[in-house]
Amino acid sequence: MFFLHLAWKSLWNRKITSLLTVLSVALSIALVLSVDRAKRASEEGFTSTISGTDLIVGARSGPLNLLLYTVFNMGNATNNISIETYNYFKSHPAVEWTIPYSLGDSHRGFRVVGTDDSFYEHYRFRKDRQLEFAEGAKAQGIWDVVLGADVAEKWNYQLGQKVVIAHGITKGEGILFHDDKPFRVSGILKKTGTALDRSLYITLAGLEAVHIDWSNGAQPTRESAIPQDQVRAEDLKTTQITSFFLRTKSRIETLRLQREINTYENEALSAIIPGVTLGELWRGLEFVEAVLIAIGWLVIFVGLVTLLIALLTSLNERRREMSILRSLGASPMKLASLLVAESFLLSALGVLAGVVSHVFSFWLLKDFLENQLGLYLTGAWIGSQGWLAMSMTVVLGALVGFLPAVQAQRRALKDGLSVKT
Amino acid sequence: MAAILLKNLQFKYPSSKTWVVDIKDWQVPAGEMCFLSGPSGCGKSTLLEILAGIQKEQAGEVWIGTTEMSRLSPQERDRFRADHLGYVFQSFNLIPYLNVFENVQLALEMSPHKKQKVASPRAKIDELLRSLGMSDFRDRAVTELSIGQQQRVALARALIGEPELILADEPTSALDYDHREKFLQLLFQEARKLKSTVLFVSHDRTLEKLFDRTVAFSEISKGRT
Ligand SMILES: Nc1ncnc2c1ncn2[C@@H]1O[C@H](COP(=O)(O)OP(=O)(O)OP(=O)(O)O)[C@@H](O)[C@H]1O
Ligand SMILES: [Mg+2]
Repeated sequence: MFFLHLAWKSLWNRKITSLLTVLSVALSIALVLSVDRAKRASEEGFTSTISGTDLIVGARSGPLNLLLYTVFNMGNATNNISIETYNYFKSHPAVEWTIPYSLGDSHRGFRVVGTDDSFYEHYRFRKDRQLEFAEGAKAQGIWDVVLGADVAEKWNYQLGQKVVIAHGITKGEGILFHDDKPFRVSGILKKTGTALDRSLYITLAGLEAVHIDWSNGAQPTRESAIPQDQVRAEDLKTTQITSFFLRTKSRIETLRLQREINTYENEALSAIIPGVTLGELWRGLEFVEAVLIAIGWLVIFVGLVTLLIALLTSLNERRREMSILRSLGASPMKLASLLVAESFLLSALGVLAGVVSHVFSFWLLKDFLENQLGLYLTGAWIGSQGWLAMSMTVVLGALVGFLPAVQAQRRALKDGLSVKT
Repeated sequence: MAAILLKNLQFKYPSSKTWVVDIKDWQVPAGEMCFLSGPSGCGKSTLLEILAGIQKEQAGEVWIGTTEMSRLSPQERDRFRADHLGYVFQSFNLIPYLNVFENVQLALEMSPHKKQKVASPRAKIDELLRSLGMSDFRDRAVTELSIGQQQRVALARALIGEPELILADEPTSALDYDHREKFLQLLFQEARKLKSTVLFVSHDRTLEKLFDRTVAFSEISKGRT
């Protein structure tokens, strides 16, 4: 259509301004799309840290706390639960499997988890993904340790290397070290993109072994210390664990079992359904998301204002042009629609450029986001927020053209054919 | 038959105190080359705008051929102008971001009626440009043309689509005497071929001898001068 051709030529004639306008619209669209995408990816990554587990059980505490210290390596357990309780529920007729999960020690800012074979066998994340080894195998011997991918990468650990763990959970370097009893790296897990990558895994026996000569949380004296080579498997008795994961034989049992655990008489316990608590936690973060989205919309608003300014300032230079078109028979309405067509073209191009740069930058950053930030970019490139932002921008962009259009129309009638300034 | 017929025409701007144009009875016969002269500010351009249907008179009748402009709605007047008139300004005639060819093409694109009258638009535009000596500049940006060349392009645009009436508002003011004459020869030559009527406005009376008839604005309009 010649009219669009005219609008296009006119825009091209002012290419610097047009380009900058398109750029500002593109940037705002790319920002909104990226925020939306990152949000969806982080929600996905967040909620997919654990799956296949019906209940997480620990000593009585708030559900969020229990979730945070088991699944997200944050905070501490207030209490332990006895091995008798664990065994009771492990062999409970409604239970399919359990994974013991003991915390307390750390290694250079990463947590050390005491667990057993069931962890490698049953733990699932991201719908139905199982733990896999990049190198080596699971911890079997007392002094074996398996490293999460981030741990191995950060300190560049190799198979067979000796690793000393620190007593207690510390952010950085420990204060009390179990340096008399180093562990040997038996395996390194593949990257999962979850908190699992940031822990070390030893056996329950191993966790007992480093503490065998400790009493009441105090370091052994020179006399009471037991050298590593004298520690025997028979002497190691696990009496407590921090928490455990549990799978029921039938999902229908979950609520009933949860109630049973919460009202267990011998010990004060808490059982949470991970999905439910994750949902609560995510909703708690919703305001951050709301702020980001609000910023995105503000940026879009600024982009549209830029568009308006560009069109309004161009009007003055174009009075002559308007008169010529008018002399050729263009009605004031037609001149107005020319301006609306221009602003439509600008905003549509801006949206297009925004989408392209969004897709391109995420394509470039994919590896970085997945490996460094654990943002797994599954799902659609553009979410409902993005579609809303894009269609709003195009529609509002065209509407923005109406203001200069109305002005041009008024001017066209006043100026007639000859421009008098 | 008259190409232009005015009866008891009265026009003023919202801000003016007296009639800017006040014409009792005036006509231009079809096919005539008419020269309208008058001092600056007397209302010549205003009259052309009324004839083109851009300004609306307060009273009286305006006939262009067999159409009574005064009865048309604003949209119909815009349509009529696009379909039946050719208009040339005194300067800055062209759209700067279109090339020579596209500027001429614009007149056809604004009017399906004109377009349909021209069998093969591209060939016709090229032919017009050739007869105006502008073939070599066909795809040139109009900003790279001299004033005289620009005015020739503007003339081509006014002539394309066989308009019944060509209104020219001091189109030669930027030209020297020789080029002015050449410009007018071209205008007359094309207009005669199309049997179009020409109303040519200028305050430069040295040109009047080339026209069929000369009219002073003050003779036909009794408004202030
Ligand atoms: N848009 C307008 N609003 C109010 N008054 C106007 C407007 N346009 C023109 N006038 C007035 O109307 C009168 C006629 O103006 P017009 O432009 O028709 O003169 P002109 O004969 O074409 O002069 P010139 O030879 O200088 O082009 C002038 O006095 C001018 O001040
Ligand atoms: Mg004038």
